[in-house]
Amino acid sequence: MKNVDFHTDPRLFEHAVESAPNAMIMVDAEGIIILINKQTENLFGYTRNELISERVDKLVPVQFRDKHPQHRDNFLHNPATRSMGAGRDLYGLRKDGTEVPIEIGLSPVKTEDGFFVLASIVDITERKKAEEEIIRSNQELEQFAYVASHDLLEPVRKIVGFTQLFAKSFDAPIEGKSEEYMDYVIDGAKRMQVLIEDLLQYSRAGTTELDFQDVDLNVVLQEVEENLELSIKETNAEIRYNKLPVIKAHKSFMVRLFQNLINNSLKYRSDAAPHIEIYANQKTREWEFVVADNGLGIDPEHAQRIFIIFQRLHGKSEYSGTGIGLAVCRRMVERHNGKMWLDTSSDRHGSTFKFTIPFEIV
Amino acid sequence: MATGNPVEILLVDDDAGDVEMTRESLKNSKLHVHLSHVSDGQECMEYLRRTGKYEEARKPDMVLLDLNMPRKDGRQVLEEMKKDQYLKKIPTVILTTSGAEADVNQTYDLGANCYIKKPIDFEQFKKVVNEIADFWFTVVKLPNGDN
Repeated sequence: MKNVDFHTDPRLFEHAVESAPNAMIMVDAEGIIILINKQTENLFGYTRNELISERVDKLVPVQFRDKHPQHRDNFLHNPATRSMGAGRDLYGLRKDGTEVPIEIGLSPVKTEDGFFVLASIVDITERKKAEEEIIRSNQELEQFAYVASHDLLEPVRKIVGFTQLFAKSFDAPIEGKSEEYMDYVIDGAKRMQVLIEDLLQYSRAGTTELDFQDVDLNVVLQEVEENLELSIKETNAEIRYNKLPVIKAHKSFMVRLFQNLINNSLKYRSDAAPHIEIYANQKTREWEFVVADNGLGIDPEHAQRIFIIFQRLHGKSEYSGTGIGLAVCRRMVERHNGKMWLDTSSDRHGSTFKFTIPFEIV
Repeated sequence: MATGNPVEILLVDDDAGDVEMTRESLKNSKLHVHLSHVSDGQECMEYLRRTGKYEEARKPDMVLLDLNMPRKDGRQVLEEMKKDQYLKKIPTVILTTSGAEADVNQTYDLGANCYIKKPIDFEQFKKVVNEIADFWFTVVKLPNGDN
């Protein structure tokens, strides 16, 4: 904490306040305004004379006035530079009676006459608007996702269902070319269904509201192993991990993330039974996770492409899937402010994916 | 339920295709099923309360309820049914295209007896519809319908 000492040069201090880019207001311990700058006049619509020696409550909307002296007392008992009302929406009251969303930084100022509080006030109207715009467009995306999941799938289901019923409606079984064409119709429609559902999953990974809690990744992996039990048994896979950390994360994303990665390792396996190793490295500000397998591996030249939605490295007939898994993974990692990449640094067999999750997700 | 009496199922769905598929699915049922159909929530409530043109309607043994319908949707129907002393014991199966988590959670909260996402493949659809009927009418012990 750096206190300004009036005695060294009071005019320098006043000059600094006057030319500050933000509205600045200094009040005494009783909440009386003793100094303001030009920006304060602009923000609140009062002239300097109308504010000096007045109670600062004049600038506080009525519904917040009751609590204000209490907050000021708390600050004076525990003075430190900080922002005001963390987590609460703050508003200022203009002369014309309108309210303006603001952000306030508080600094204690020590003088011979005791403590004063210097408040630096930023008008956040524009930012609020932008935030509301983001919320609105996210809601629209959610709406779109719902329409996609329901309304787009309906007709697809009809195509499949009635093509099958159509075929049955003949006295003789459908054969030859007719059967082949019918299979194309059904396959195409089923593929459309998978694409719609995958697109939806990708969209949800971007818009789902996150709930960061302590997540034990050992528990997450147990859940993943249960979900993939069948394929793990079928491929004789061995998944190794021990003592993974408990991290701050959105749990269902962690399950999906590890599940997609392990599922890829099982799917793109070599002739040998899959060996998948998962471990965590503790870095300065984040965890780095490594998921390494002994499978087919990925040519480093495709290191970027694999994370793009609907990009595939294999023909449809070789491997099923739409190419959504890694795009969803990266998106979920990014929602945690982490990064995800294909590690191409070692020439070992198989592929190694790495991703980071910060200790503190801001 | 006495043997020989048909099982009364009320299908609430605005999609003619789905109605046809459900009918077709139940054709081979080992149960003796009588399927009635209404196309939205409002008609459904009239049917269940035997008002309007449904004065003669029989109380269904089960309701197959779609979620997204015009006028009154499946969620509203469910809410009204589960608040109604006379209707709340009728097993209500949500049969919908939606796989949205919000729909699943909300309908169970409203008292749905089970939630089923309509399969894309007709053979699977048929299997599911028949399994629903078999389960509710041969496996489950239901309360006496007249209470």
